[in-house]
Amino acid sequence: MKTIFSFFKREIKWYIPIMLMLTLVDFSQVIIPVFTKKAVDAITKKNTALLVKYGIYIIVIASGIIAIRYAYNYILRKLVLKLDFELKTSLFNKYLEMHKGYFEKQEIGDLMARVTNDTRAVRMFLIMGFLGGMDIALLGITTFIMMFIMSPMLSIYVAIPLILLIPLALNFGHKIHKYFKNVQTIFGEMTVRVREAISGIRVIKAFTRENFYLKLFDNVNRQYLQENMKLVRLDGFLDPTIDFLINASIIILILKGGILVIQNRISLGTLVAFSQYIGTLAWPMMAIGFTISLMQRARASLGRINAVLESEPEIADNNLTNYNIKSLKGNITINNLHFKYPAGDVEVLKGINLFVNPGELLGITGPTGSGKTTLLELILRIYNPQEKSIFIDGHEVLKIPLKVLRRNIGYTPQEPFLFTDTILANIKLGRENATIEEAEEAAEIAAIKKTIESLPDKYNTIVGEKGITLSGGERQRIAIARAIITKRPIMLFDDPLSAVDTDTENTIIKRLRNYLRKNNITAIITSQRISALTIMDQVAVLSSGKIIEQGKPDELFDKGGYYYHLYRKQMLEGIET
Amino acid sequence: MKNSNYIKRFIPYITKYKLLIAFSVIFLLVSTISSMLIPFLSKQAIDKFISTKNIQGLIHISILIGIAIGVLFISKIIQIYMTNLAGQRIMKDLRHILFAHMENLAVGFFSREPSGKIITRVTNDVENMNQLLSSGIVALLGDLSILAFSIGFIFYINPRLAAIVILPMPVAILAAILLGEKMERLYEKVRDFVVKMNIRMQETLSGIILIQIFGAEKRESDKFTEIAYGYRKTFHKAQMTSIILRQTINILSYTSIVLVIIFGGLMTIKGIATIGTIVAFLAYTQRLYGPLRDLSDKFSILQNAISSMKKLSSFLDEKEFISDPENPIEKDIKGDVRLNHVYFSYVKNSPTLIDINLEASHGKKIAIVGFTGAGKSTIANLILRFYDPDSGTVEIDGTDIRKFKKRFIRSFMAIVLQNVFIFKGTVKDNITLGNEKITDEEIIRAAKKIGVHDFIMRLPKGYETEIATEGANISQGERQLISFARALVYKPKILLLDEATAAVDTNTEEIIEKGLKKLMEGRTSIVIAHRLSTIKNADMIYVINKGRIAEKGTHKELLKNKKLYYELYTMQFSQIN
Ligand SMILES: Nc1ncnc2c1ncn2[C@@H]1O[C@H](COP(=O)(O)OP(=O)(O)OP(=O)(O)O)[C@@H](O)[C@H]1O
Ligand SMILES: Nc1ncnc2c1ncn2[C@@H]1O[C@H](COP(=O)(O)OP(=O)(O)OP(=O)(O)O)[C@@H](O)[C@H]1O
Ligand SMILES: [Mg+2]
Ligand SMILES: [Mg+2]
Repeated sequence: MKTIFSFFKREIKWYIPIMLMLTLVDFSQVIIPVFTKKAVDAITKKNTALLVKYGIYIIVIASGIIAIRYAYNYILRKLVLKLDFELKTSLFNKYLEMHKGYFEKQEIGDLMARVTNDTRAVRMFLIMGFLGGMDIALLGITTFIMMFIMSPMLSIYVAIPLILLIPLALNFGHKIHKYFKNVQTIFGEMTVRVREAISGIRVIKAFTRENFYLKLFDNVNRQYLQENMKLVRLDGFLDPTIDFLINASIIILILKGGILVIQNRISLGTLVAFSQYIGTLAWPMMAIGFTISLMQRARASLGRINAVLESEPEIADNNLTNYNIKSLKGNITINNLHFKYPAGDVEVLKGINLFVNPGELLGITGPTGSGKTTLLELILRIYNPQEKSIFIDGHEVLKIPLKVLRRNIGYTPQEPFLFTDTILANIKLGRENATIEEAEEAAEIAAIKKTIESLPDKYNTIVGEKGITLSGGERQRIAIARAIITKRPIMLFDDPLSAVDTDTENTIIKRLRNYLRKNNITAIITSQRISALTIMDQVAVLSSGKIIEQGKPDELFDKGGYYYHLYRKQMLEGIET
Repeated sequence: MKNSNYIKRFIPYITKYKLLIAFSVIFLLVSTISSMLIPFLSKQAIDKFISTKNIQGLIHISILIGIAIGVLFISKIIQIYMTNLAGQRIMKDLRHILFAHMENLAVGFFSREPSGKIITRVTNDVENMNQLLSSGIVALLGDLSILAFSIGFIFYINPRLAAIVILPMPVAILAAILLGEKMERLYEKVRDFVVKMNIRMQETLSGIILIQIFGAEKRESDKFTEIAYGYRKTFHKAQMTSIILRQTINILSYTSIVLVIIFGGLMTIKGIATIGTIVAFLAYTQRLYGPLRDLSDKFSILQNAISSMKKLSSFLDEKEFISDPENPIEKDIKGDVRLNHVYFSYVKNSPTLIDINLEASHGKKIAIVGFTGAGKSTIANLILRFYDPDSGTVEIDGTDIRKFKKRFIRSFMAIVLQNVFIFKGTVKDNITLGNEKITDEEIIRAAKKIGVHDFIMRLPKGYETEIATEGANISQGERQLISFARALVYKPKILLLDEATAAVDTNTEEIIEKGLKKLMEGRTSIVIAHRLSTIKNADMIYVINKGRIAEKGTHKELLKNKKLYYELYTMQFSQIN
């Protein structure tokens, strides 16, 4: 709501001109029948000159109306589109602030629908609803006053059916709101279904499940039809009813007005003018109908938009943040870290203690699902760790300004993600002003330089969505280069070598180690590969959320535990055969 | 007009509901006629009864008007309901077709086209087209019939006055045609901006965590803002064009009113017309321009819809299919796979696979190894017929796979993709992919065989645990294990494993290894792996280098060769120092 209010406040200067223009137009529109009446009365008096004069008056007033209409439409639509733009960008910028957990709960497809589809409902209401509302107020009331002046009695009779409109309108309002909200929600769900089918298309095809996913989509599709029809049953009733009430006024006019004319209590000109007024009233009456409908739709959509705009990013600076912290060197201390995912009900990490000196390399290994990724994500504050559990250079991570924390840590996620952009842009993600030489250097360390150079467009090759046009190992190495180019004092690599062959793996390990040492970077690398672990200063073995072994690789080997067995399986057996 | 081609293709969808549409048109005509009668009867009331002071007659004619109003009310409600029902049903059919069409497009299409664009097609564009039907085509018929009736009535009442009054109409039509074209272009641009907006959001939101960590929020925000700004400006231009059209029609409508008053007045003075004629003419003039004004309003909606329709039409024209043969072969499949002099390139003139010959008979396990980016996954893509080779053949049981229906032949295969994909839904749904033929026992048996059962039982609700979109709430290794179970419950004759255990720890990998041996007896296994320990026991190992087969043989033979395989193998055990 804040966005909209602040917008209305900021644009306050436009209210008076727009209102003035609308008032002027509505007033002029009410004036026209007065001249019609005079013209008709002139006809009965057979006064040709007067008739032509009033005719010309009408055309002059009409031209004025048209000019003003154009002007306020220009301003109003400009304003509404500006608000629409601000809503869209605020939504998008809000998404940029949200943490990972948010996107696990909210579907991206649905979030997209809020930006494109829901803003539309708001926009339509603001334009049509505003104009409609003003017309209801101005045109409706002035018309009625004019009618009242001409014939108080007839105008009251004529108004009776129109008054019935009010209770009707109120009753329809909240139902439309409810149904429209359902329609929008299901539209979001439909977007989600399509998006998922696209991302999972290879699985769907390989397992020949096209029909099943089509069926799932059709379910939502059918629901969408049903919800829309509920809305139609309501909306479709509103219009004819209003029409009916207006026509009822006309009957009353003919009957009662006719009798009054016969009794010589009003002139025929008044009757004609009244019939024109009812014609004029028809519009604001119809406007009541669609304004209600549009308003309720907009209310539903605005609710969905506000739900986003008003949600606070869970991971952000707060009053604990110590803005004196400007940079980090790289000591990482983890102190009895326990962690449970907000959505899960078991502890994933159960009392982790770790200490990494600046410039030190820590290897982490352990079974699938033991909590390695979780640990790295907590250091990065992708999720919030519990208080007083993770410290960098002695500062608790929760107190380090998020920007400082993130700008000092380089990261390759376990599942490499590339943007639909050039390879160069993908590598430079974290350092836009990096030179091409620096990009090449990073690519060299990640052992991807030769591959890139063999492509027709080299660094300017555009990769498909999520890097789909590259091989698994190519994607992974670009993700490594992307972290390396940042030269940040701390680097976290999550299983960075899972998709490369042993030869490439060795090359990368060697170069990476030299690079990390040379720049005195603190690094944590998770891996299942012993070849990567043996070069670490320190190795920790994580199992079911606990560190079961920790120490220098050689020491761990001597202990004869998990590490030893891993070593045997991957190294010794090979040599024995 | 040039739009006729696009429109033509959608006609079958419309004719499917011809009865419904025919009835809505009938009710539309009924409601139009009754609404047309009201001013006509009012004229009669004024001229015949009010001016002659005939109260009895006035009451009678009022009853007639009342009947017309009642008929109008009921027929309008029915018409609105039926029209919308038809529109919504057509949209539902269209969405179904679009989704099915999308699922049928080749994998290559999806690596080229951004998913944001495809999503826009199936959701937003259809939504726009809906308006073409519900407020477009039928309303158009309504408007045209109102136009025709109004013209008919005024010519019936007073042909001379009628001829004068409709004088400004051709100008209105000309304006509609001229401005219409401009609007069409502008609205098409608006649609393009929506697509771009969706593409941006899809990209940014999918990679949001990376953007945050690498500090690229500002850049992403700028990119989106630029598109949203373009949308705002273009949309305003488009809207103002329709406002100009609307106001042109307005001024012409006022001109007609003045013509009625002046010429009608002059005629009345001369005794050729009556006041009643003028009242009726005023009402009909409003009805005459109403549809035109409506059209100019709907023009924007219509233009928007038409440009969406074009987009949909070209999406439906997309022919990037892997086509099925005309006379497909169906036979029992043993699962012998053969690649025969296969050449393949993703991009013209840069071959990815060169002269690949490979054989995997049922009951055998073959392995494909090699440097990253060598073309291993591409071979799997060809066996699944995600792509067709440029030359050479992929054969199953000695038959070119292009002679089978794709879905027939794929139903004998299963794959664990290098990029695992997990759907939103339960663990069980992810394993069966909605295939109801797979029993719970089968799922559990397969999961137990490969040691996944214990992991799944540790999850809060076991097999019924809900997994978030793209598996966001489970670990990477766990995602792989679930994909593994998925491949096995399908009991494939041919199992393709593309780095299926890359993220899994060595112990789990061993368990899977043992389980697989039993499960795959008599079937064909094709294993792609960088970790050579998993493929040592393969019956045949193919070593791929730069798209060619560099070596083949058993583990022992290849070691003796002391070439590429030897290098890759010994690399695993070399200590880096
Ligand atoms: N859709 C595509 N469009 C264009 N090029 C592609 C596409 N998919 C893969 N390639 C290119 O084809 C080559 C072979 O890719 P492929 O995925 O088969 O390699 P791979 O042997 O599986 O490698 P890895 O071990 O890294 O998974 C790579 O150079 C890759 O960049
Ligand atoms: N967002 C989440 N919500 C709830 N539970 C989660 C979430 N992410 C992971 N988990 C669970 O937490 C546990 C640890 O996951 P994590 O990703 O840290 O494992 P990991 O050691 O990195 O495993 P892998 O070797 O497979 O990558 C797993 O059992 C997983 O199912
Ligand atoms: Mg992990
Ligand atoms: Mg691959």
